[in-house]
Amino acid sequence: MTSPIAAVDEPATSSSVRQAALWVPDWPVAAAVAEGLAEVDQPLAIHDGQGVLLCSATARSQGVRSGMSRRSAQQMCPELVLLGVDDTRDARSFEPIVQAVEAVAAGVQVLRPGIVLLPARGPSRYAGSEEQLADQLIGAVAEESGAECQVGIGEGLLTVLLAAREGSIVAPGSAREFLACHNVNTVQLAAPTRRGRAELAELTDLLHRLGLRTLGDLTALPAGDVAARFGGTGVLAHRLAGGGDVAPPAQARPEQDIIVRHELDPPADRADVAAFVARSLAETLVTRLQRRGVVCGALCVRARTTDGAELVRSWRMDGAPSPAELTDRVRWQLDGWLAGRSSRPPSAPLVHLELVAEEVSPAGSVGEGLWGSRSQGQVQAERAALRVQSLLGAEGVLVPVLQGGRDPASQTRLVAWGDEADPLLRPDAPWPGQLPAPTPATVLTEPLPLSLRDAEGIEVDVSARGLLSARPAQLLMSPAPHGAAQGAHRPTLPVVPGNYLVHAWAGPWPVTERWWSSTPRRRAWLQLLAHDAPVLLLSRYEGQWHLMGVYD
Amino acid sequence: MAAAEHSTRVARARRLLNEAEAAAGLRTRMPPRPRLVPLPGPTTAADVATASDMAEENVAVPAALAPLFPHVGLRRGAAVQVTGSTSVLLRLAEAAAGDTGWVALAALPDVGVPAAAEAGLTLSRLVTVPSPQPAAPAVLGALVDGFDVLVVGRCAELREGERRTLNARLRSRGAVLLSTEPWPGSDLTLHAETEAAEGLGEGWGALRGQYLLLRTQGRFIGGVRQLRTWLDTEGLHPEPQMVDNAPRLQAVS
Repeated sequence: MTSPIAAVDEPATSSSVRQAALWVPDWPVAAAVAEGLAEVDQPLAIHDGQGVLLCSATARSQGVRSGMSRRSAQQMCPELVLLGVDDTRDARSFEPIVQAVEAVAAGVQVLRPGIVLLPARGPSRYAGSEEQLADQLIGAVAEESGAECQVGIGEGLLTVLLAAREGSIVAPGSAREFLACHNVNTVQLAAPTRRGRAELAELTDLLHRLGLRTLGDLTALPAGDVAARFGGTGVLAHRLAGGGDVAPPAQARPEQDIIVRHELDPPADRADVAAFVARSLAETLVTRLQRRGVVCGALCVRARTTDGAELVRSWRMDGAPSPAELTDRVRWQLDGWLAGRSSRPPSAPLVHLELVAEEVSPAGSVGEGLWGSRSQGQVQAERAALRVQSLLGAEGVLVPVLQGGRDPASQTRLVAWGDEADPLLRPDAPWPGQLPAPTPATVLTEPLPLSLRDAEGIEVDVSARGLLSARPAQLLMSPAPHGAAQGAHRPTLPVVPGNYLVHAWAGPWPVTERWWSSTPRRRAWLQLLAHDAPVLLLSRYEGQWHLMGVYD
Repeated sequence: MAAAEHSTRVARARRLLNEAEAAAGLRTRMPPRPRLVPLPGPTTAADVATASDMAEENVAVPAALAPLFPHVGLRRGAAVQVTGSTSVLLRLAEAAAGDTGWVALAALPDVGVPAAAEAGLTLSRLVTVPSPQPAAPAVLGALVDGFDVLVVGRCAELREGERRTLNARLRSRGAVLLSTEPWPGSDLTLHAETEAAEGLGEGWGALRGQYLLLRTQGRFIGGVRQLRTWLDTEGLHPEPQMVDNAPRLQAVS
């Protein structure tokens, strides 16, 4: 029988291309630890909702096994940390390792987070020998991320994966013999996706029941018969078992952010100690940016404290930063964090510091602005604003933006320095009912309730038709209630609280906004000139007059 | 004969070398610069001083307010206390910032942003720090270092010594500080008072503008200078009746 698949499968003999695989054991566990979801010595297991997929060495020593149900795993080990599968997390933390491998060899492919494949011939010749290449790879990864890994070199995908498990190098031409004695289950290792793995698992289960226990048993069968009996999956398994090569689908690299991190031991409780570490991190980051020929658009500083709190802040960067610039930013940030000034509660010493270069782009594509470099004034102002942000937190420095609205308060939008300063509401729209110019120079952030009365001392109201119920004659302003707006720090008002005689007024101008929504706003505005006071802007809402602004 | 030929050859070689260096941009031969540059125009020492002051040392003030200030402007590094009118404060800041300056508002959460834009301030060069309270000295120090005009509101916890330190930094940096509260070592105190408002009726009209009475007092001004101005959307306009160097406060109405 000559099936078309068999015809395709003609060169079922092992490939002769030398490959290397780098395997980090229990990667999802290592990734969870790297992301700070568990301590290194805590027993940890990764589950998929049904059962345990993987567990850490500590958990294994207490009897937790993969395949166990969550409940029985917890029974074996009550302090077990159970985490759901998260491919993104695995991929994200794997990136530094890929970068470390790339520093040693080119043409790196990620089979799945935890396993990296690379061609071995060129790099091993460069390194001197295959043993030395393996040494260099292990060293680079350990230096970069502290993760322990194993390297296997050989021919064929399954060969290198199994060799990596043993940390061995399979001599050229002996792939078939090396594979022959392995259990047929190991074929599953070569599956890049979970679905492919499930398909292969089903197949190997069947093979076991048919008495084909080893890869050697499988390869002993003619390829055509395997194709006829087991279909495409069978052909794939047969080919892998014979030391054949299947082009692994190259996984898209999830992000190109460049990450450098450092564990602080002992924990840093002073800014200068942490800044010292930040300095070396910044230098590493800059070197790596330069080596890859890229610049970053943002710098993200992440720190973790001893009590597990995570502090993250992004800074905008322009072009290629110098180590000093980076260090400054990190130091200001740490200053604020450690002193507990950044609007967060005073925090504990730092145990983990990480710098991430985000929005990475090739260095050549970033140019100067159209009108040349930024002005000196802008550079200085930016520096000062960042410094103040480091003292007061990001929300401490605001940039005002003018947007559309009917009254001065809603025309104002304040954004934190460094954020996108765009109006939310169109300023060029007509805005009927807008208060006439000039606008009040003082706009109260917290409107002050007050009382407007007629000559008889009765509160002046605004009727449903937008008319005053009586001629206003006096204005009663009581001092701001204590406790409001930080007490003593309340800025002084341009008008002193007291009683004023009303001389003239304009309005009321009724404004009904967003009446179609669930948060309608109905107000009446009034300009008022009182004796011995500047012109005031009042607004009546919720059955009360409020001082909204002062034309001073 | 031989010596003369040698010296001309050396001279020619030097000349060629110089030309090559200049062409390659390795060295530029500058003509010797005169050590004293004559200033065109004014001839007396006082005039020279004023002219150079105006060129470098001074910052602009709104044209309508010029008579209130000495030297026809504000000294760089000066601190000025401005009370009674936020509009005047904003217009002073705008004039001092000019076309390129950066302005920071500190401890002034109630300043109206539309009014700031109306006063001519470029909002993209304006930054506000509404409450510098927990670390006011450090925050103001940083702002003085980076901004050309610093407008400060009520900072209760700033001590006198810290204000003086800021003054020193202001001077070395050449920035201008406008404060709504008393500021030690300030050059000038400007107080504004609303005299009358135009446009409001009894339930009709709308505010058009107001008359302000401005008084300055301080260094380089003998006595008190005062000025009536008209403030509207267009800005500040001088009123004809101006009393210069009034020895005593006078009621002007």
